[in-house]
Amino acid sequence: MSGLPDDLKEELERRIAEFEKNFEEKVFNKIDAVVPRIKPIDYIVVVISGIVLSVYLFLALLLG
Amino acid sequence: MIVLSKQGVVKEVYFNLLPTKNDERPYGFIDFLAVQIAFGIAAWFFLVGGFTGLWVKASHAIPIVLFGNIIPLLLAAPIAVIFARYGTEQYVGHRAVFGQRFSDVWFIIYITSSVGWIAYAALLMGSGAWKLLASLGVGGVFATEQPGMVLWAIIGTIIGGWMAWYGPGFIKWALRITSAFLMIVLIMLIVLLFNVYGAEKIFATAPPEPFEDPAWSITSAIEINVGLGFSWAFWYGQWTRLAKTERAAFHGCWLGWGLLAATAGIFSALTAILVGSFDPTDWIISYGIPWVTIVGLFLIIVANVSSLVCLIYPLSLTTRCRFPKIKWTYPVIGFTIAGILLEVIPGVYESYYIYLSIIALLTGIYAAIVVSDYAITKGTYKLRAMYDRARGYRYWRGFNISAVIATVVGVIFYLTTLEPLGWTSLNGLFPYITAGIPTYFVSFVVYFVLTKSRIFDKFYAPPLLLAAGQQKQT
Repeated sequence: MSGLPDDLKEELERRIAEFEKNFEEKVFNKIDAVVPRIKPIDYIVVVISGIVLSVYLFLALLLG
Repeated sequence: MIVLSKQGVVKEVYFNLLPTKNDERPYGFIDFLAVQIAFGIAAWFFLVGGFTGLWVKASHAIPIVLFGNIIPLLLAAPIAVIFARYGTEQYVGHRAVFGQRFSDVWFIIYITSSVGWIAYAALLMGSGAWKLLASLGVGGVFATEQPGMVLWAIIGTIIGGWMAWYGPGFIKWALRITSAFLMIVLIMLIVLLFNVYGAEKIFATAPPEPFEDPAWSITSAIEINVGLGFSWAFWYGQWTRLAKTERAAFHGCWLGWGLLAATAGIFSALTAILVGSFDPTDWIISYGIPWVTIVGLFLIIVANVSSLVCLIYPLSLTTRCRFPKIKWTYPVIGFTIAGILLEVIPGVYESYYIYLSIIALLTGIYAAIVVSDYAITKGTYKLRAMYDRARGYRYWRGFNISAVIATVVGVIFYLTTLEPLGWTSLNGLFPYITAGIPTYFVSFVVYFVLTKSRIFDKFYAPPLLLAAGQQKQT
């Protein structure tokens, strides 16, 4: 990044290099990297929550 | 103190510019809920609930507030994962999706559109201040609605800007004051509702200012709540980059900003139905008890000044991070003045629903493109390419053409479905459908189809980074 002080540039490069060395392959292989990954069940929870809310709104409007 | 504050700001800028490491992340799931509720419950939820209550009855208002605030957050939830995964600030991380220059366009949209939140927090503070003086029997220009409210809003904005300028030391206290004081106001509303009026009256009272067509009342109420729900799409990164797990970020945001903070919207809507005003300060006065009026208005004033700090500081910090060489004073003054310029425009306070519609348009499209890209890439990006403006995600002259087209199509669809300034529908689809959520899906599909078809890949600049073989599209 341009415009950064030298010490910040060094720290940024250090962190990016560390990420590439330790975590990037894990991210691309879809396994836990810097922090534990989200699981399919989390998406299911969100989808079910969305369906429940939509049905609630639909019924509330339908029943007046 | 100034030296210390400057050091604090510099430290924060450094922290925001760097991707966070595992041991720098303080937020688990419960922490996320607490922080997002504290950040979420503020002027915006009280006002959106107020307008909802003016337009629809109680049995409709409750599901509309829940649906309108939570569904957009569910649709945008994967955004939280991206910044938790890489630890970057939002404006850095989204370069992978939009390209280096188009992400700057979205950065400008983010900071300019967010000035509205400053204005509404300040005007609510101003509304509380002049009414407090009037209730105390004080005369003079500052105890009048016009120009007293705007003058107080200007004073509040300057105080908020001044506190924000002092840096991070005051922020955690501002957040606590805002959430604690507004929680007290919320509890006062709940007591007022059920002890003074009773549940039966709440559900039997018709909305005070509905549209002529009931369908317009319902879809308009959904639309403004959707606007607030999608508005968080611009604010994920600064929080979720601090998450200990992707799951905490993913669920913490929609539960905190959506389900839990929306309770403020529900009780506001119910109160507005009974009091007949969208303004929370009128609800406090409707108690008819002098000490409740004084204490309630005082809490609203202090809470909203704290909200102003919580808005001006992160906006200034994000701007400083994007342009590290500018002095800290400039963005703070810039956002303070911008807020004031909006506050002095007549009718802005009453036009909150128009602002929310514009926010729904912008943030809905933004969320659609980022989530659509997440669906394609599964959130796998190159960290180095995000930071490297010269050789990273370059696309076509810094613009991801698919994202540009999805943005333009989304804007056209939204504005033809609901024109916010006149609150009319050019294509006649509104009120049979709302505008914000359908626009999300239009932009999502356009981006998905264009990107998957790889139709524009031949225009994109070749990768220049050493390890760019795996990286998406550049």
